[in-house]
Amino acid sequence: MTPSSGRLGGRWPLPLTETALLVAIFLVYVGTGLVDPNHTYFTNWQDNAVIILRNTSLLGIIALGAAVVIIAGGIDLSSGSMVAFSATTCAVIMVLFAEPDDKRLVTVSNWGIVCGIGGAVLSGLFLGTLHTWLITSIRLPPFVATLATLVGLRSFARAMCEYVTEQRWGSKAAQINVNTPFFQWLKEYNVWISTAVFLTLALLTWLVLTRTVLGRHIYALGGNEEAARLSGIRTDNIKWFAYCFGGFTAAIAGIFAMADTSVAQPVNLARGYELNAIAAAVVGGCSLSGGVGTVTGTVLGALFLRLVIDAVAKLIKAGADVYEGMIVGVIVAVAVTLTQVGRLMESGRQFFPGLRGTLAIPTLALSAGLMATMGSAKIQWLEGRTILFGAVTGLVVLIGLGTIKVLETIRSA
Amino acid sequence: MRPVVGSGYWAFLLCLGVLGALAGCAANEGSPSGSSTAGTKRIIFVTNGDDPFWDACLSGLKEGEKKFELEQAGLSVHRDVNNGTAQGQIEKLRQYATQDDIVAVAISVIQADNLAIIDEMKNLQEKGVQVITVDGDVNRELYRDARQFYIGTDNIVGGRALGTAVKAILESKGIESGGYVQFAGFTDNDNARSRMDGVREALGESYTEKDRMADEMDLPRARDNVRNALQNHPDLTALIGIWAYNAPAIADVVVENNRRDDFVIGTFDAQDLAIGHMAEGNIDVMVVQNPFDMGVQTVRLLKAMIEGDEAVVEEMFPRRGEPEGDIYTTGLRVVVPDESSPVKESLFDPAVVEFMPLSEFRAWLAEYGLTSS
Repeated sequence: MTPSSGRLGGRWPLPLTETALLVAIFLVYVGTGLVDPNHTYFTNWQDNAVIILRNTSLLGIIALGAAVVIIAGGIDLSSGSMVAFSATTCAVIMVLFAEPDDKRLVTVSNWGIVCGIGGAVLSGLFLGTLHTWLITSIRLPPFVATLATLVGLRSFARAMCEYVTEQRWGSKAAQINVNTPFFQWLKEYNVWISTAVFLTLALLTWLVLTRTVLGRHIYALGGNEEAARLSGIRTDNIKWFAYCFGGFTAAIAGIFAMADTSVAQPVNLARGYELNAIAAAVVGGCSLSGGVGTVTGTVLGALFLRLVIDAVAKLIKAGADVYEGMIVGVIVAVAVTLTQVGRLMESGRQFFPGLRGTLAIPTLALSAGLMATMGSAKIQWLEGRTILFGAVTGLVVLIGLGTIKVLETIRSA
Repeated sequence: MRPVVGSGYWAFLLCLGVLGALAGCAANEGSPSGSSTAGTKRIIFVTNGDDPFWDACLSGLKEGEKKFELEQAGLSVHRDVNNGTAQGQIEKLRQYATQDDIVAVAISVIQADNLAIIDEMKNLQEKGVQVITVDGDVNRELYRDARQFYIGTDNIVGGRALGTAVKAILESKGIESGGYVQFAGFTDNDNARSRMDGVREALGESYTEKDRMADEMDLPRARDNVRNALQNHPDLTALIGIWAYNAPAIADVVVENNRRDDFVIGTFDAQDLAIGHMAEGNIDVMVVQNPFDMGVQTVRLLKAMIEGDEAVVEEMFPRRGEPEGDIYTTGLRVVVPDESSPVKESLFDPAVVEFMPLSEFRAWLAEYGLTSS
């Protein structure tokens, strides 16, 4: 089994997904640079590149883990929580190595730093093992097993944080400031170090997936677990590797995230990152049904997502994060939907079958209309006419989708 | 082998184009306060989280925008609401550093000791952006140079005022000792820490601080904290809400448990929900800041700093250069349900605290079209 299909003709080295993403990245970058009244992407490209690289490497490291799990036919909803957990683990270990009255962790010894980072990485590996045990021995579906840790880990991390700080400092702290010189150095050069780590991890992951027996087994497991087992592959061990790798990447990301924000915050650190990581993998071509996906696609998917988020910040100016989730959600939904188009067309199935499909049409039209209304609220030339604009948009979508429904009905008649 | 991509992916690119175009349209007019035409320089106000408290501040920013004629000066002011995390503020500050049209940033710092936030504030200053703090300051002992000025409440004074009022109510009920719990978003945030220290100082040794509970700006957790406090500490006599949303959280849970008579409830700020609770007798005293004035004074100061108008800066900070001379204190009000409250005007320094019953406070809100403060 190969990672993905669809390759452009001639000598072009990249599959279609990666090629499309490269074009999309180029278009978004150039388009944003042109449309932005300040043309920030052109006039101050260095600073912007640093921001995009920093965010991409953090997301990308987690996405690599998410991609391997997805290719192996699983899902890991807990990577954001694992990031927070491993960061907290690192911080509480360093609390023990710092002077008792040092609440900013300035006095942590080198051994303390090594133990902290080692503890964080080990926590990721242990959590990967826990996930595998829950999935393979207790037979929990991966969704349920990782949902449990998604919810539980942050709470566990906070309790650990409060317990250790109370024992050491005499007062509970819900978060730990990390002003350790090493981590301040890491923050200062974070963009280069985390990017180097990200690219190294990506290269290693690519080698494992494409050049080793283990990689072939991962694809085989994700493609058809039963067939893989019958062909002699020790599927439980492959899952163990996949979830441990997911835990390992989350732990590495946790160390960078903690350095970047100078704080180990069990409840808030990397909140929602698990979904962005899965989104990056999916946009990069990974199939949630397993067995399909590439490292290059995941890397480009992470870059594309972060670029779009950054571009929205450049264009909307203040308050861009209001739209961030909506835009990422739309991109993921559209990307995944479009990967299904070919299959739907080949199988002859309808997009809008029966009453269920019919009812989906006004829902989609209403959503499009509302988004258009809200999105146009700040457009000067639409001032006072945003509801009309939203209504027209909704109507156009309604007519378009309605036409597809009619054509499908005629074809099936 | 299943196909992963198809011709649909090119349609995906088309969708991107549409999204880009929509965002691009928004770009030209992306100002919450109106248009942001080419050449206009921007002043950004970053909140610590999302709360109606900041809506009153936004009204003040708009008032300041008109009053100090920002448009004629080629300036506009924009509010940017943070998501309640340090990470959110760090990312916003980094974004501002890449945008040349931003000339000033006012920020309510979410974590006073967070070095990453401090570094980004310093980075902005190095790029020539004017940086001040409003409402939530940095740790002044360590990082004062991360901003030039602070506008907001003198939080320790506010805490003392609340502690004094709560103590007066407790004593009027004949309660000479007992425990109390303080609730806030973050217990290591500068304003929260100062207020809680002020409350403890005013309540004195007779009353025991049982806990300081942080909810990290998670509203359900704010309520859970109150529920846990009621269960964990049977000898509680007072509940203190430090951030705006803590007030309705405390009142809701106390009413839900039918234990109103067991506690004195004192809170900071006046969310519209908290005002309703006080009207219904569920809150005994509120110490209210003036976010509206914070907004107005922010615009006044930043415009002066951008234009190099030293006269205005001197007027606002006459003790500039002296210890604590970089702090501009906005007013504090102590609001009680009515004149029958045991909390009396004579308990407070009139130069610092304005005392008023709820009816008078509501009239003030109505005058400026505000629902909270």
